[in-house]
Amino acid sequence: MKRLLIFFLLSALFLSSCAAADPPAKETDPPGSDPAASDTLPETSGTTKDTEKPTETDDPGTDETAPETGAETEPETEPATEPVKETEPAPETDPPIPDDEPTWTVGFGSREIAIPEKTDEPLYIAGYHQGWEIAGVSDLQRANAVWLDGGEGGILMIGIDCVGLSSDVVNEIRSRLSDLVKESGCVSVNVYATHTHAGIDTLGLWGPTGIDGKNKDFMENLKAAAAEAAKEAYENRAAGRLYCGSVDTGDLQKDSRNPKCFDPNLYQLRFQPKEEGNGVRLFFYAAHAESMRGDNKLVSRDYPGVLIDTVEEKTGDKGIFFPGAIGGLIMTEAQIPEPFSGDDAVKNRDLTGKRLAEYALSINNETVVAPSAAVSTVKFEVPLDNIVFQYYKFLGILGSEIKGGDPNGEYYMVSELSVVKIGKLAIGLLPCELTPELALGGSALKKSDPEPLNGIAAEAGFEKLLLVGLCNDEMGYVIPPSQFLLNPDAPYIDRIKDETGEDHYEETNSVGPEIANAIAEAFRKAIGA
Amino acid sequence: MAFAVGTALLLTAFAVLSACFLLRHLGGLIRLLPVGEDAKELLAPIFDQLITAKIAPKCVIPFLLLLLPSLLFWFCLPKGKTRPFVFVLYLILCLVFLLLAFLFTVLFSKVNGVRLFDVLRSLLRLISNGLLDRM
Repeated sequence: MKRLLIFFLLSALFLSSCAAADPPAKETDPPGSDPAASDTLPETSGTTKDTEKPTETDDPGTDETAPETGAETEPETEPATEPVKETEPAPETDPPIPDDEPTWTVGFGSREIAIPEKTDEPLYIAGYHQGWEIAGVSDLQRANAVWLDGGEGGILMIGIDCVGLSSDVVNEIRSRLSDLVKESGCVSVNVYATHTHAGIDTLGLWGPTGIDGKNKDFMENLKAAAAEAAKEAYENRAAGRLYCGSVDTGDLQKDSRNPKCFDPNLYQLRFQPKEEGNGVRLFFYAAHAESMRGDNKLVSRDYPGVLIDTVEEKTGDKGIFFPGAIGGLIMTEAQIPEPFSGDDAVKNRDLTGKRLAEYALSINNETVVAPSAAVSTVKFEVPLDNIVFQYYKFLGILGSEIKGGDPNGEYYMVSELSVVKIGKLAIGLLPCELTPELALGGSALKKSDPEPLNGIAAEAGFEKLLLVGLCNDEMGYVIPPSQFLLNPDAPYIDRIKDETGEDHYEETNSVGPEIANAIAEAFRKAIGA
Repeated sequence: MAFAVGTALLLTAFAVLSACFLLRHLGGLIRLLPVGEDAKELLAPIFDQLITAKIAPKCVIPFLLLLLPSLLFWFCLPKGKTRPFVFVLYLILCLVFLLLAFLFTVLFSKVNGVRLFDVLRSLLRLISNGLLDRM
C-alpha cells in the first residue's frame, strides 16, 4: 500500500512537471512590454534573404495568356514544414493604461462584399486566367477599415479583399465618405487591396481580351461595403495604447524570381483599448495572397482571411491585413504538395493562414508606440510605356488617371504616394507592387537603380519602415531598372527570358522602366528626406 | 435651287447613313478581316468603344453643319446645262474632304484620355509582324 502511494505521488509530480514545460496557450494575449511609452521600435530578426547571383530558375508559369502567374506550373514541391519557433510566453493580460498616459484613438469596421444574385454580367475570378468565371464561394471578400488617430487628425485605412483597385474606384469611395471626412476631421482616406487572387475581378483585366472583366453590380457592392466599413470604424473608435512588434516567419515565403530578396517578417501594430473591448491588430506581410494557386475558382480572401479569423478566434482582437513589398514575385510556400486545386486549395490556404496566425500570436518583442500620426501625400506621374495598359485605358477598362498624348503620343500615368509618420516609424502607402530589393536594398541593386526606400527613410530619421502595396491605385509591378527586360518584338505582350533563363514576366504588368525611379522620388518627397 | 437643296440633302443623308452603318458595324466588319483571331479580338473592341464613347457622332455633326453654307455655291455657278453636274461634283468633293477630316478627328480625339491613333499604331505594328497570333 505504501509503495502504491509513493508510485502515485511520483506519477503526479512527473505529470505536473510535463505540463509546466508545455508552450504557452495560443489564446494568451501577445506580450505587453514595458508600459512606459518607448520610441524605440523592436529589432527584427533577419531582414532579407538576398543572393546576388541566381541559383535556380523558377518558372512562374507558362500560360502565356494569363495576366498573372506565380505557381500554376510550379514543379511539385515539398511542403514547407518548419514549425513556428517557440518564443517567450506572452503575458495573459496587457498592463493597465494610466489615466495620464496619452492615448491613441483607434476604431475598426468590417463589411462583407455581397456577390450580386441577379446580374447581367459574368463574375470573373482575378489573378491568373482571363475569362474564368467563379465556380462558388469559400469565404466572401470583405472590406475592413481602421481609424487611426494619434491626436493630429484621423487616418482611415480601408482594406478590400480584392486583386487591386484603380484610382477611379478609390476616388469614388472617397467621395462617398466626404460627409464623414467633414464631420470627423479625417486627414486622409486610403483604400488598398489585399491582392487576393481568389477574388472577383476589380481591375477589369481578367475578362476575355478587350472586354471589361469588372461586374458593375459587384463593384457597387464593393464601394458601398468600403464606405460602410469606414463609417463603422469611425463610430467604433476608442482610446487606448498601440504596440509594435514583429516576428520572422521562417520559410513561409518564397521568391519566384531572382535575386531572392524579401522581408521575412510579419509586422504587427496592436491596439489595446483603455476600457473594456476588443483590440485591433494591423498585420503587415509581404506575400501575394495566392495560396490557393491558379486552378482555384472559389471566391476567397485567401490566407489573410484565415490569419484574421484565427487571431480573432484566439484573442477576440479584430484584424486587418496589409500587403507589403510583394513584387517580383513574393508568395507563400505551399503547405501541401503541389500542384493542387479544389478542396486542397482551401486546405493549403487554411494551413498557410493558421501558420501565419501562430507566428502573429508568438510576437514577443512589442514596444509601445507613442501617439502621433501625420500623413503626407505626393502626386506624381510616370511615363506610360506599356501599350497594353494604354489599350485597356482607351477601352475604359483601366481606371487609373492618364494624361498626355499630344503631340507625340507620350502618355503619363498619374498617381499618388503617401507616408504615414508615427514617431520613428514610417508607413509607406505605395500604389503598386514593389520589388522588395527596391525597399530593402542590398547587392541586388545596381548603380542605375534608385536608392532603396529603407535608405531614404533612414536619411529622413526614421528607424523603421513598413510598406503597404496596392494602395490608392494599382500601377502594377515596380522592377529595378537594372533588371527591366522587355521582349523586343512584342513588348508588354510576350514575355522574355534573359541569358540566365530568368523569366521576365513582371515587366508585362508594369507601367514601364521609369516607375522605380518615380516611386523613389515621390517617396523621398513624401517622407521629407 | 430646289435641285441644289435636294441633291445636297440626298448626298448628305447618304453620307450620314453610310457613316453610321460603317461605325455601327465596324467592330463586326473588323472580325471579317483576314487577320488572326487574336488581332481581331484586340481590334474589334476598339471600334466598339467608338460607339460606346459616342465619339463618332460628336465628330460628324460639326462637319455636316459646315456642308450647309456650301449650298451658296449653287448661286455662284453660271446657269446652263453643266450647272447641276458641277454642283454635284462639288458636293461629292466636299463630302470626301469632310469624310477625311472626320476620320482625322476621330483618330486624334481622346477616348478615356488616349488617342485612337496611338492605340492603333501600337497594335498595327504588332499585327503587321504577325506577333499577335502567337499570343
